Amino acid sequence: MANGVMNPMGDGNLPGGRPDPMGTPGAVGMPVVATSGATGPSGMNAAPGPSGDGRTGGGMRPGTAGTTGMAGMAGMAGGGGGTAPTGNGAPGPPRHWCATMPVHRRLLNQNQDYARARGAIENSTRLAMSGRAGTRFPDVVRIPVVVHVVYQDDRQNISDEQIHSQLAVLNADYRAANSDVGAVPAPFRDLVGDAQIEFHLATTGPDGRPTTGITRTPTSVAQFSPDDDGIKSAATGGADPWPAARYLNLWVGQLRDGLLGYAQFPGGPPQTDGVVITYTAFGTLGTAAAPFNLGRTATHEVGHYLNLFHIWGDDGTGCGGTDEVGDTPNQAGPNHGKPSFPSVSCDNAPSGDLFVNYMDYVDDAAMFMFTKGQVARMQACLQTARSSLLATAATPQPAAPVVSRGAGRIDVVRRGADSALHRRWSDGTGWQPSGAQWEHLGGVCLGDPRVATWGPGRLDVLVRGFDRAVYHKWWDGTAWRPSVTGYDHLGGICASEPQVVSRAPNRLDVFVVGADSALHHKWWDGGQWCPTGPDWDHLGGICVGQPAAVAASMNRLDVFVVGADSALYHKWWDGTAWRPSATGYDYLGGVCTSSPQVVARGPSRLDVFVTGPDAALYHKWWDGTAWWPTTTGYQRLGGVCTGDPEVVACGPDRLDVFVTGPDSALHHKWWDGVRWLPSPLEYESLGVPLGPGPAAQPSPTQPVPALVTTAT
Amino acid sequence: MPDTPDRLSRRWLHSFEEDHEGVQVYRPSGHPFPPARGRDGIEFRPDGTFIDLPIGRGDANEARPGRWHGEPQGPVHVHTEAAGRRVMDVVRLEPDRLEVRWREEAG
Repeated sequence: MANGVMNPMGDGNLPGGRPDPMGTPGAVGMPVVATSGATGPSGMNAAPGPSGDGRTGGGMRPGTAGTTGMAGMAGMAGGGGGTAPTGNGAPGPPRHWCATMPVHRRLLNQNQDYARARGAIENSTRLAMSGRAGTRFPDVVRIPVVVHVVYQDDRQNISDEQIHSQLAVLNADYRAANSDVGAVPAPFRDLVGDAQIEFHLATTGPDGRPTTGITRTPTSVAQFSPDDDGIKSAATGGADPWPAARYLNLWVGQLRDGLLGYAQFPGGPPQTDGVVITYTAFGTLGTAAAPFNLGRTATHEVGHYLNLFHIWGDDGTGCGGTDEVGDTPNQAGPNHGKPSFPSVSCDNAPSGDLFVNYMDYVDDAAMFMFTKGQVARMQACLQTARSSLLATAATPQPAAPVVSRGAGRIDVVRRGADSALHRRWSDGTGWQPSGAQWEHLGGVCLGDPRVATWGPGRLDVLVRGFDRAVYHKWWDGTAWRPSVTGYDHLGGICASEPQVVSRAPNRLDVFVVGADSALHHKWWDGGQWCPTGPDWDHLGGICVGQPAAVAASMNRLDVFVVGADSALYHKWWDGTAWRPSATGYDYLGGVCTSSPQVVARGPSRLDVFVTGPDAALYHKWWDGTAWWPTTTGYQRLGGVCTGDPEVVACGPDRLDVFVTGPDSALHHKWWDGVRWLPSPLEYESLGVPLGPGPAAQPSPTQPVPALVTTAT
Repeated sequence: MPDTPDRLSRRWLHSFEEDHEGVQVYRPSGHPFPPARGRDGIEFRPDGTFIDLPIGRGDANEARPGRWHGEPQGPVHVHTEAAGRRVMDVVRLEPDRLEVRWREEAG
């Protein structure tokens, strides 16, 4: 149970210990950290995978994901309530002594408020961690981030690419998808936790307008100090925060006295809420300087922001302090540099300090993990003190999966507010069932279903259950199987929704991202599911978001995923083997802020769409011999997209693309075989779908949104 | 040459990278310190206010005020509620460098 989250392989291999035939971090196909000027596929597709069909890898097995045992938390002593403020209140050395007393009194008052807030937060944290463990944190959450660059010179005005490299590190580290997680010493491996938190630059600003999620502010202040939080206010030469309830504010500038970064815990004043990082310790490119050039300062500070304490318990070098986490060893003081294992203190032999933890003080290259207990504490924080972030964190999803299994025939299957699936269908003469009713298909579903059809009488519905396993039901032409409200269990512990394609009659291929962030595959061969039972075929990778799969012909599957570095990756089945290898991927470049969407409008023609960091839509295509416009390049199609794009190909020379804009309206553009209409960068607005908008909780009683009728 | 108390009056941050043989080395705030995730410090004010500056839970320094007094050339006595009474023996004091040994107050 303890290793159920991280290790679906069942064979003791942690993700970092994946087979790596090249012996280099990128060789398997998914570099976690983008390096400047990523060199394209040349190094990425050469991983010599197993010969043959590669379908004999370790399967993905079901487990008890999410039940990170917190039974050991009983020893949590008080003390949170007495915590002094950290990033928000410590008075600095006043230059004029006479001004000190009022300042001190004000801070003292603030501190009392802060101490009260901290006490309340610790109480709610314990409640959240002790109760409802099974349903505590059902899915990955995505936190909108704004990065405030405050610069005095050009060097401090760090590039967008450097900022993106930092986001990529956060997204790897908070999913236990970092390439160095395998360096965790063996006695600690079972402690590794996936926080299931992802970060993205905000696409909508506080005023509702589109944004890059980056602000840039010139300043005359040479160095900023935490004493007065000067970087957090325009009045003191910094940048004002965006509303702290909706955004993680992340300031980057020159900090005083070599300080790498500092954070404000939940419960502090909103006007100073967030994280500050010095510009030489941000991201992995540009001004980032060793040994703090792997982006781990932000990982550490965001840990504080999500209510994690230092792993040694913040009592100097004593053994009496606690980080309020049950599964971290007692530890005296901070570790520095790159300690060698074990580093023993506080009677914690033989394994010693957990110095590989993000909340210690070691170099970037020496910290690799959060523990499950720390994950539980962060999740409790997101359920309580920082729950307002989640209201804005939901990514608008496609309105409802829709499929046409014959001329004039449309089936819509969607998850209702009751978490069950519901269907409506049209035979060309009207919607059934009549009235506003939906057919109830049962289930307790975590995500939205995916639907495939391989014949006029056939529907296959795949959906992720609350246990994160995949479930299947199908319409055989006369009835639902295994029953109207029943499902077959296909196993797995999935971090994504299942993606299903059918490349021939009586043939289904299902792809999911597992809890290990790798891609997994299961297929119906006409007689049975393969691999059999709850196992899944492992296809490697470190994937973020949803995979996209398409069957361009009977013997061809193409799968696209976004890697932890936000680039697009591709692998394909050529009828006999996975290419470039069983667990390898081709690198297709890009900085993707959405999951990919792919359509095949011919046996050798693929069109892939993603959104970029500027929220615009980007397109690349395969013409049978090459990727266009280049292997790693994209055609910019404009727009301001707030969710994943949707694409449909009605014919070999026709593409219809739908995106949701910041106005919640559906926007449409199309390729007529010659050009993009209405223009390469413009869209026609189809208005706001009926109901409260695409981001709203789906309800089976809502009318079918515009997307369905337009796209079909 | 000014007495020790006069020359101490400022904020000093722990240049822990330079510690040696039980001696703790401090540098004035503003010194070009190498980057660090946190750095504790001490501050002496002319009116007798002492501020202990341990690394806080969010990496910035906490401020724990107390009192201090020192003989013209002798040890420096500090007191905070959190850490109690301590004695700081000054080993070396230059404008940009303070070297001390800490010990508990006798008795």
